[in-house]
Amino acid sequence: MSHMLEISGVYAGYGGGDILQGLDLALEERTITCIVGPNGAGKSTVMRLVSGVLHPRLGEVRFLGERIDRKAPKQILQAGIVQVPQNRSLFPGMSVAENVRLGGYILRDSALLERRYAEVSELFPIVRERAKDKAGSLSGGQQKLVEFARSLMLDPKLLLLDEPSMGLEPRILSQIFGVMVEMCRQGRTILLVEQNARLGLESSDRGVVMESGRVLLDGAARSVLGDERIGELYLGGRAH
Amino acid sequence: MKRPSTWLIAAVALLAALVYPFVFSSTEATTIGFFALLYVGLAASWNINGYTGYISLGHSAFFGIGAYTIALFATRLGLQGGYGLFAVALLGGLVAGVAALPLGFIALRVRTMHSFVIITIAYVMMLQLLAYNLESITNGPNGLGVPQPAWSGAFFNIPFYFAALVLAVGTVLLSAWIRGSRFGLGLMAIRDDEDKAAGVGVDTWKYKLTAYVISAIPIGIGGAVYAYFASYIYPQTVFDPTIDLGIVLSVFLGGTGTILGPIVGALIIQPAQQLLTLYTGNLGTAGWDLLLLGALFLVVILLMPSGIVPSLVERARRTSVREAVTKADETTPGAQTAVGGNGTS
Repeated sequence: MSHMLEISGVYAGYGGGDILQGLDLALEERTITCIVGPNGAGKSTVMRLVSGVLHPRLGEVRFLGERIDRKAPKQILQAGIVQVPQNRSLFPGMSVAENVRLGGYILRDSALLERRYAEVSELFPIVRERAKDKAGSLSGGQQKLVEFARSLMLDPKLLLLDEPSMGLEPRILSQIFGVMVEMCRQGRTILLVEQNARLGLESSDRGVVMESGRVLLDGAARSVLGDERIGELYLGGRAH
Repeated sequence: MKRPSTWLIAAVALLAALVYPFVFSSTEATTIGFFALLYVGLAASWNINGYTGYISLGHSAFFGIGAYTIALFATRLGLQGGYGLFAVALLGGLVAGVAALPLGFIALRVRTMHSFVIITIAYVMMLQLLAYNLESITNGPNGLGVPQPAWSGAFFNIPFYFAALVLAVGTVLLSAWIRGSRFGLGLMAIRDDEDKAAGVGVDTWKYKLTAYVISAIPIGIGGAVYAYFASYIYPQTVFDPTIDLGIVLSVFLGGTGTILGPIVGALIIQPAQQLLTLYTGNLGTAGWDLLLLGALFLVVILLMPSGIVPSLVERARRTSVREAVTKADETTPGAQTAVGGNGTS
């Protein structure tokens, strides 16, 4: 059985040496995989690699069996991989509805675009409720939900979520991660990079610990959470 | 432009514009009307490029190209004045559009707003210099005449008034159509954040250039209609930075990036400027009208930085949302929605 996404033996960096040093990672369909690790471990570089912004020096990336490591970001979008970046990525001066429609900008079929818009606003009521409001007037959590909604406009098979908790109030994080689990239940595969390792792992199926551009530990999210060494290193002590 | 009230207002405004020259038939009144409608067209056209957020202070380059096109074409071919010359005005738009392609190609190479603004100003200066110096073609500082029609008296202005009306309505419709299209959505995304726009798949470079070229065309037609109306053009009267200021002031006063904004702005600025020139005599020619308009502009920037139309729309919308929310609270207390309702604020 082939994996949805398969990264094998990847070395990649930004010219000043390799950030990823022989990365191997494979994602199962309809699961959430959470990558944790210290700063500089290469977590965000993995996102850039998969979304086509960064090309590997060595190794390959396969999506549904097909090589994608030489493709342009737009082709990767078309193939069905959509990223939700870590910083605020909405157009603040445009309405929520316009923002969501822009998520499907590469669709040339306007009927399809409208159908997807209807589906997405069904799933995310905030899109309907705040359709005409400027995206910049929404709270951080609401903006993150609209970003999620927008990412679904291309009906992606694989979603890349880069630090969704960043800059958000703690009390709304459980809702954000709840929505992520719901999106996975509806058939999407999710690759999550999360600084808040405990919260990320608690909502995921699988946990991957990265260090210095390699995978240090890879297993069920629960067992990674329970691993004593990992707990001390990245989770700020064991769970109470 | 979906609510019936919008269409109703548009219909009433159009009707008013149609009867205006018959109600106010003096030459002064129809002249004011002509300039007001001309600038509605110019401002709405400028705003198509303005959707991208790139502010051009050099669209009078296209105004001048249109003006020189009709003058050269009519004099070289020995055309007579009459209704047929309005068709030649369309040619002015075409030539302006063709010229906009290389000019836009160069100006849009830059990514910072300041450089873009300065390059566009340079275009007007360069073209003015060319018009002064290519004497064999442009007749240099002596200018060029456009054949006059045989219309006389108070009627003289009427065909020009309706030509400006057609230009204004056509350009506003074009601008509205673009604003509602997929292309327009891409332009607005560029205006908000060009990198993010590229990130969602907007072909930013192609879109910016297309918008720039489209926006040059009605301005070129406007320049040609003006040249015909004025009957004589000089380099400094058509490649004129104060035309750019008039356009940009109108758009900013009304509201950038909106369909209605340029209309409202031009309908305020132009009549005000014409009336000031008319009634203050020497003061007008001494530039007092510009001073007053500048003061008005400052007031608007300070009180309504996004322009009249967006400020009013935002105010109206906030009130209606507040009412809707109050109503919803009364009818469905504590209503909770599916995924991520409103509970995150």
